[in-house]
Amino acid sequence: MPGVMQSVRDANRTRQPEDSVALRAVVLATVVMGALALAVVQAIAITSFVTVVVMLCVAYYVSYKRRRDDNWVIKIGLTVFALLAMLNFLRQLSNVATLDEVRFPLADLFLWVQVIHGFDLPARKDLNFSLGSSLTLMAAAGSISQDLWYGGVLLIYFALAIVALALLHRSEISEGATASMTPQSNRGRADAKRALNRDFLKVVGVTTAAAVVLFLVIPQPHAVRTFALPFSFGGGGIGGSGAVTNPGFASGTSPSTRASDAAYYGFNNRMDLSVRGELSDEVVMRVRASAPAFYRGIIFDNYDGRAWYAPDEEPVPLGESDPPYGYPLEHRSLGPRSIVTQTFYVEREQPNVVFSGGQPDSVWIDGTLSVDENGGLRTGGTLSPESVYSVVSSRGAATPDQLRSLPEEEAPPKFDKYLQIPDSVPPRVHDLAERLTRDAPTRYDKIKAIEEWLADNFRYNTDSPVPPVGRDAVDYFLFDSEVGFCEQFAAATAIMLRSLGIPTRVITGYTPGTRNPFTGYYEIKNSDAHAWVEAWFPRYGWYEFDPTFAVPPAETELAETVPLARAIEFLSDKISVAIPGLSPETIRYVLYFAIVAVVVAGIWLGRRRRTPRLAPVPVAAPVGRGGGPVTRAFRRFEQTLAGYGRGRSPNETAAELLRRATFRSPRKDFSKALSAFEKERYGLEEPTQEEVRAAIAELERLMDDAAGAPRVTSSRGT
Amino acid sequence: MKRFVPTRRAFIVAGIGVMLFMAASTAQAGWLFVLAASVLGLVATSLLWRHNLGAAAIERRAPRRTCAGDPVAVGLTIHNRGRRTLPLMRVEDHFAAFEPTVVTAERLRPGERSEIELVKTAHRRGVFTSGAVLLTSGAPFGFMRSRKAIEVPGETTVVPHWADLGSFPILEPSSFPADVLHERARTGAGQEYLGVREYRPGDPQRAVHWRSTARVGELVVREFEEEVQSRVTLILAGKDVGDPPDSAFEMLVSAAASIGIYALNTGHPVDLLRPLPEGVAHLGDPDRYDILDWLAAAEPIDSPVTPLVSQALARVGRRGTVVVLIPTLGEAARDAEDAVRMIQAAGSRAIVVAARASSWYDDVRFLDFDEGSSLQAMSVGRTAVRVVSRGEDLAECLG
Repeated sequence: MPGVMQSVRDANRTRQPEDSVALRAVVLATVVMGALALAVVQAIAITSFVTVVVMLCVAYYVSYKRRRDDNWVIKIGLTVFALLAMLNFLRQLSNVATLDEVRFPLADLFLWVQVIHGFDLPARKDLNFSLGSSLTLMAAAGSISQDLWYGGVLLIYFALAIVALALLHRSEISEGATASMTPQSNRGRADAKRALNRDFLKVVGVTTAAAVVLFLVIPQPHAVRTFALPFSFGGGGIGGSGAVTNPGFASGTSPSTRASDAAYYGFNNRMDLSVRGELSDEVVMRVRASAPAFYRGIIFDNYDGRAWYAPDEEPVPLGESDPPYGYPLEHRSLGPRSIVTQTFYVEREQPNVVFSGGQPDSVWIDGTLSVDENGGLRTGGTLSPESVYSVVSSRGAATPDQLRSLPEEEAPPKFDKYLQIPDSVPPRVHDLAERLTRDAPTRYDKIKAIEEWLADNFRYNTDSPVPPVGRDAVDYFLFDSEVGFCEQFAAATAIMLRSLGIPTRVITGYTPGTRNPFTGYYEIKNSDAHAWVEAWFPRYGWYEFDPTFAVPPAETELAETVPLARAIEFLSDKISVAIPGLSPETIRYVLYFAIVAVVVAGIWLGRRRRTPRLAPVPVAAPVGRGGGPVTRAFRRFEQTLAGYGRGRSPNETAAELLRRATFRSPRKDFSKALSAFEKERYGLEEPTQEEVRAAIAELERLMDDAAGAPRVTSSRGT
Repeated sequence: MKRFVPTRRAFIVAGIGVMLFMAASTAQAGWLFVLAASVLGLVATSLLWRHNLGAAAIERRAPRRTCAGDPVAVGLTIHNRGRRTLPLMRVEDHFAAFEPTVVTAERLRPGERSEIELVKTAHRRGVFTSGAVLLTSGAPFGFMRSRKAIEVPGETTVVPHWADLGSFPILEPSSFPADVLHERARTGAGQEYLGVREYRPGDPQRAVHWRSTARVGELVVREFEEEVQSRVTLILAGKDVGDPPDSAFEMLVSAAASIGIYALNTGHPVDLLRPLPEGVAHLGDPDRYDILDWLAAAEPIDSPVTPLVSQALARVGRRGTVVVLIPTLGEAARDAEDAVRMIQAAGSRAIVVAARASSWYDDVRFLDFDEGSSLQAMSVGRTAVRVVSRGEDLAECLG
């Protein structure tokens, strides 16, 4: 038995213990930064972070001290602790509501594994593993992070990781080495340190540049489907009945004037076209989405000449089962669809409305969910901050040609309400619609014709004139003010299309917002609230149209997936505004060409630099007087020596060079050459003609000798 | 040799980068894209970080001659002749005269040089004219590895180790009666007076011993001992057993060096013979340095020794000594009996120095020859046989 134990201990003894304290310290720092990142994104508590850091320091100290031991007792202890950590992880899993939340206990487990593993890091490969594990901590934190604080931690982490990798390489290179060769030069320690720092900065700079370029050019494809969608209840909101409850307004009231710049008044059962006002730029939601989409909230069907109305009857609950909730079939559209997956992270209290990019297919939400008779989704109460819900939705993906090719069919009777036009709308609205669509053969062309006419003839202004009392808001917008914002554009389009017999409804919700390239979240501000229309197509159902702006297409464009393309698009738009007459397309092409030119020039310069060239000779800087005939001859002599691999080093004096060059020479006398050279360069008098001739002759003899001397072997020579 | 290749770690890190990228795509997490780009940026930086090891010029300073097993100072100098800084490098000197040297070379700026001197042991005999210095670098992260082998000339002769012998039976009184004939002094023109004899035509006039002539009545001349120095020829042949420098042939080389130097010290002219792949190598009338240099270049070649003995006898003549140094196995050993008989038949002394091959076998069960018979055959005609074995003291074995 003792023999077996000894065998086990021998097998566990470290073959190559890592002695570098610097390497251990830097790897420890990277792990600490990983833990800090988790603390920053609030995946772990600050107390856990402090505990972990203290334990990591102890662990690394112990593993350094015991790096040459077999540590079998520690290993047994670590195995026990690892099992306990796993049990704790399993216990935490039982409290997890969704698969997405597994990230948090998983991050916790990774962290404790790091601590446990920290007690047994005798060799370089163990430290390598620790460095890799620290990356998993950073990744776990990165997947959770919703702000830019993580970026600061990431920068420090990468600087440390670069140092750690460089030290790991040094350790690898030095394995088995008996000594180290240090340069012989007169540069001092401070100079050497500066050079080292310069090299480090160069590595960091090149790595950062490479990372930035890769980040900009690698497409960031939108995921088609996420299997584990997160949702959580952020806390108690304002309860509501069947009506929409907007926390920005008094319960049950329909605003006729602005009550809050932090809440869109269109998120109500009644949307009054007379209300004016600006919305704040406060971020109200962050959305992690597989593609940008207009987030549909409330569906309005009824118009009374001043306002649009959504049904205020008690919505129908969507089953008793757990999430996900399926969307009722009677509200679903058919035909080609593109799937969009979104998770909404509520930042500011939201109405009891579930938003979705197009038509919702399934919804993950904590709490009850019901649907109104138009298909709008309602929750039991307003959604408080920190609420999270996910929606898998679909948007109509039929091409314009497909939509044009659809047969003209009467809408089923259930869609009659989407053809409703109040008496307040004068016939001239219908006449206008007829006139605008006279040449449009299909339903799709009619919609586009109206969109184009509005875009060409109307101006966008959130402070447009309010329709006088008694006037129909749509009629006033079309024939009098000709200025409006999304609600006026949507309402006018809807009424004109209805007058042409096309079922149409007005939608309020949010535009896709702005995608933060670092966090990956679409940040939706209050001012992103919007109104648009949905028109009904036979067989395919409801399709979105935005008469104010353009509805983003279902297909992703290059600029949406490649950050560089997005940046170029952004720049070209800005430049085209600044320089009238230059189209964004032209500027875009110029920018692409400039980038290609820079890359090609960079490659060319890089290759040119890489072309192996031997230094002809590091000729000493001309101190003293300029070059006379002896100096020129001396330079030729230097170059000759350099050609044979025995060039003059930067700190070598002329005398030293001559002494070295004539060490094996049969003609060792160089006194005339040296004397004349020094006289010409530094002396008070010029050398005489005779001295010059003698010196040059001597130098030429030495050059002949150098040509006959064996070359110093180099990779180039052999 | 490939000059710039990715290491396993590069593939692992690139794989991690791709995995992070996929995770980022799935989770639509922007920071994961940043993380993935940063990780891939590390690999990209390594790809861009060319090492230009070709700009390194290397010199080696080693002694011209040294003895196997002796410590010597070996210097290496690296000079950066390029325009860019040479990175941190691993320098492996594979000059076969010494055990491999592994050192690290810190960054070298253009024009800079670094030197190191290490005490090395010349661990095996031979004539070494050049050896590769292998430069390796993976700067900055060890993801891409550059290697450059530079052949650096430098002649070093590692002569064999030899023992100072107190005695060796060259021309010493034999204990065997059959050898007495050969021990008898030859008459000649030396200084040592042996006696008188009758005059023979051609004898010099000054050799006439007038007193005896007067007493005998016919011409009598004085006879002197012939001034001869008995020649010694060493024949070194046979295959090797064991791993040099701990091998049978190396021990025979050391024995040859010891005997040769002993012979020179005791005033005997020496010849050395060894087989070559084609022909025979001969060294005549050397001094001790010639012997050591010649033996430094000796290679084990297993061939019959009788052709070498023929040449040896032509050099030593009668009363000479032929020392045959062979292992106890192989062609040379099988031919030993005939060789000894040939030497004896020519009136010369035969001495066999045999390396006991079995002693270099770790497991005698693998012996595939009869060593006893081989040794018995060598000692035919009461030849003096000296057997050397692994780990034994050479002076004791030979003396």
